[in-house]
Amino acid sequence: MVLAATMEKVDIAIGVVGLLALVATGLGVAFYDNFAGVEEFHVVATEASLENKGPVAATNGIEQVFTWEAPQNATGAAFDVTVQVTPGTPLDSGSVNVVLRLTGPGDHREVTQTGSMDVQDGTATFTIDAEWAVAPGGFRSSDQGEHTLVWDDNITLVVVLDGPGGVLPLPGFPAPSYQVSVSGDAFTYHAVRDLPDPQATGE
Amino acid sequence: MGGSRGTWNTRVGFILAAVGSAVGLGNIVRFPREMADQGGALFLLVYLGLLLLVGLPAILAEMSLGKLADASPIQAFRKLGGKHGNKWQVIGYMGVLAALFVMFFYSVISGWALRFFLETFRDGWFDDPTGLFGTIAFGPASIFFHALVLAITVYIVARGVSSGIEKVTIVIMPLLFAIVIGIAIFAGIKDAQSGFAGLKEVWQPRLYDDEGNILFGVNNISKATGQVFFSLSLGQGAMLTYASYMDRKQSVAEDGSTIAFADTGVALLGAMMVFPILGFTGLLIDPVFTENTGSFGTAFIALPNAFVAMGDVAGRIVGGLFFLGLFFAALSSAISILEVPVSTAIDTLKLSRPKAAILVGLLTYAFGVVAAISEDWLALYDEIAVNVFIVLGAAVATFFAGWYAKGVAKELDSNTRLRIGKAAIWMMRTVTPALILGVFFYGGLFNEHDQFWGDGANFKSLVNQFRIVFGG
Repeated sequence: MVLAATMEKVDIAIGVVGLLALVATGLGVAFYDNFAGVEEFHVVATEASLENKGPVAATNGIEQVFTWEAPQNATGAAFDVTVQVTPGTPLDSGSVNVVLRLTGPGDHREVTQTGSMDVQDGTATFTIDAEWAVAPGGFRSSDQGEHTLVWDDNITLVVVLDGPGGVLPLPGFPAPSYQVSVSGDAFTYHAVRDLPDPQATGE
Repeated sequence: MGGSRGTWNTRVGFILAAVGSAVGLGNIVRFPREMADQGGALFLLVYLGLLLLVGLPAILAEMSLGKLADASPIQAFRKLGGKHGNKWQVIGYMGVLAALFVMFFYSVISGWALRFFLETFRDGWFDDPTGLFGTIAFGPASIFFHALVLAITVYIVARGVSSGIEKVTIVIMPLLFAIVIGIAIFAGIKDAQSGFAGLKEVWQPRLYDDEGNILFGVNNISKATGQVFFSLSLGQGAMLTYASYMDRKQSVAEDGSTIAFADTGVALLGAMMVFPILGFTGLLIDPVFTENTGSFGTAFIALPNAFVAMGDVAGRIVGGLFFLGLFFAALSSAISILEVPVSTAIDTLKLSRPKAAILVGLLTYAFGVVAAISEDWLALYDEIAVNVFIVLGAAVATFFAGWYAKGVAKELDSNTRLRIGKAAIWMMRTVTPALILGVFFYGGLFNEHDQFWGDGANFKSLVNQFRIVFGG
C-alpha cells in the first residue's frame, strides 16, 4: 500500500514498458529463427560435367586456350588433357613437353603443371585440377540464394606443346603435328535444407 | 525561459552538438559514394547549390521555430500556431514520431559500428572482412548491442542538456574530426599511388556516367537533394529541439549556417578519407562493393577489406579508429534523436528528465528488437520514418515558418550582422518546400529504390516494404 501510494503514474508506465521490453527480448531471442525465416542448410558435394573440347590442332610453342563458363557453386575443376600425334603424320623419336595452365574464376587461382609425352607412343593423357573456393560445411540463412556462388569469370585452360622438329627439313618429310582434346568436370556443391530430425520431434 | 528547460553552456557546445546530430553514416560513407558516382567535383557544386536552396532554409526554419517557441516540437507548433495551434501541432507530432521511428532502427545500426570497433581487439573483421557483417548484423547479438547503445544514449540524455549532451559531444566530436583527418592523411602518406587513385575517383569532374548518360538530369538532382536533406537531420525535430536550448543572444542565422556548412565539411573530409582507403584494394571499381551493397556494404564490407589490405599493424589501427569514429558519429546523432521525444515527454507530460529518458529508452528498445533481428523490419521503420513523417513534416514545417509563424524573419536578423531574414523567408515559402516535395514525388515515380536513404524519399518503396514485411 505504501509502495503503491508513493508510486507515480510514470513509474507504472516505466514498469509496463519495461515488461514489454523484456517480453520483446525473450520473443526476439527465442523465436529469432522463425521470425527472420532463418533455416539450417547442409551442403552436398556434386559434380557438373563441362563440355568436351577438341580435338584441335596444336602447333609447337603456340598456346591453345580452352574456356568454360564456371557453373554456379563451382569450387574447383579437374581436366583430362589428351595429346596425340595427328593421324597420318610420321611418328618421330623424342618427346613432347606439355605445359598446362589452369585458371579458376573469382580469385584467379592459377595452377601450372608440366609433363612429357614420348612421340613414339602417339598419345598421352595428362590431368590437371584446381580449387578456387571452399564449399561451406553448412550455414544458417533466411535465403538459400545468398549463399550461391555466382562466377562472372570463366575457367580457362591453356595448353602449350613443345615437340621435336621433322626428321628431314624437306617438304616430303613434314614435322609431326599434334592434336589436343580436353574433357573435365567442375566440383560443385548443393545446399540442402535441413529437415527436422523425425526421432527428435517424435514424428 | 530556456533556463528552466535546460540550456547550452557555450555556443561551441551547441554547435558541436548540432553538428554531431547532423553528421552520421550519411556524411562519412554515403556522401563520398554519391560524389564519386554522380560526377565528382561537379556533384559538389550541385550539392552546394542545393544546400543553399533546400538545406540552409530548412535548417534555419526549424531552428528559428525552436528558439522562438522555446519548446519541444509539439508545444512549439501549438504555441506558434496561434488560434490554430491545435491543428498545427500535428507537424510537431510528426517530428516526434519521425524521431521515434528513426531511433527504433538507428540504435541497431549504431550497434553495428560499436560491434565492429570492439571486434578490432579480437580480429573479427580482420579475419573475415567480407563475412563478418552478414554474421552479426541481425540476431540475438544485435539485440544486445541495440540495448547497449540505447543504454549509453539514455544515460547521456538523462544527465541533461549541458551536463550530458554538451559534455559528451564536446569531447567526441573533436575526436571524430581528428580521426577522419588523421586517417585521410595517413592513407595518402602510406601509399601515395593508391591514395591518389582514390582521390581522383571521387574528385574528378564527370559529366557522363560509364554508360554515357548525362549525370545532371532531374534524376541526379533529385538524388542530390535527398542527400542534402537527410544529411542535415531535418524533419525529425532534432534541430528544433536543440535550438530551443539556445541562449537568447545567440544568432540562428550564424549558427545555422555554421552547422550546415560544417556538416558539408565533414562529408568532404569523409570523401578525402574513404576513397583513398578503398584505393588500397582497388575496390573503387568493383560494383559488388560500391553499388550493390549500399552504404552499409561500403562501411562494413568494402572498408574492412581495404583495412586488411593495408597490412597487419596499420590495417588494425586505422580500421579500429575508423569504426570508433563511425560509432561517435552515430552516437552523437542518436543522442539528438532520442532528445526529441524525451524533451516532448518533459514538456507535455511534466516528467523529470531521467524518468522521461528511461521511459522513451525502454519504449524505443522494445520496438527496436524486431529491427535487430530482421532486415525487413529495419527497412520498414526506415521507410515509415522517411516517407511518412520526415519529408512531409519538414516540407510543412518550412512552409509554416515561411507563411504562418510570426517573428521568423526578425529572429533570423537578430544578434547578427547577417541580413538574410527576407531571403530565407522567401525560400521557405516557395523553393524549399517545393523541392522537398518534388523529390518525394519524383523519387516515388521514377527512381529505383536504393534502401536506407538511398534516393531520399520514395513513396513507392514504402508500399513495397509493407508488402515484404506483411506478405501482401
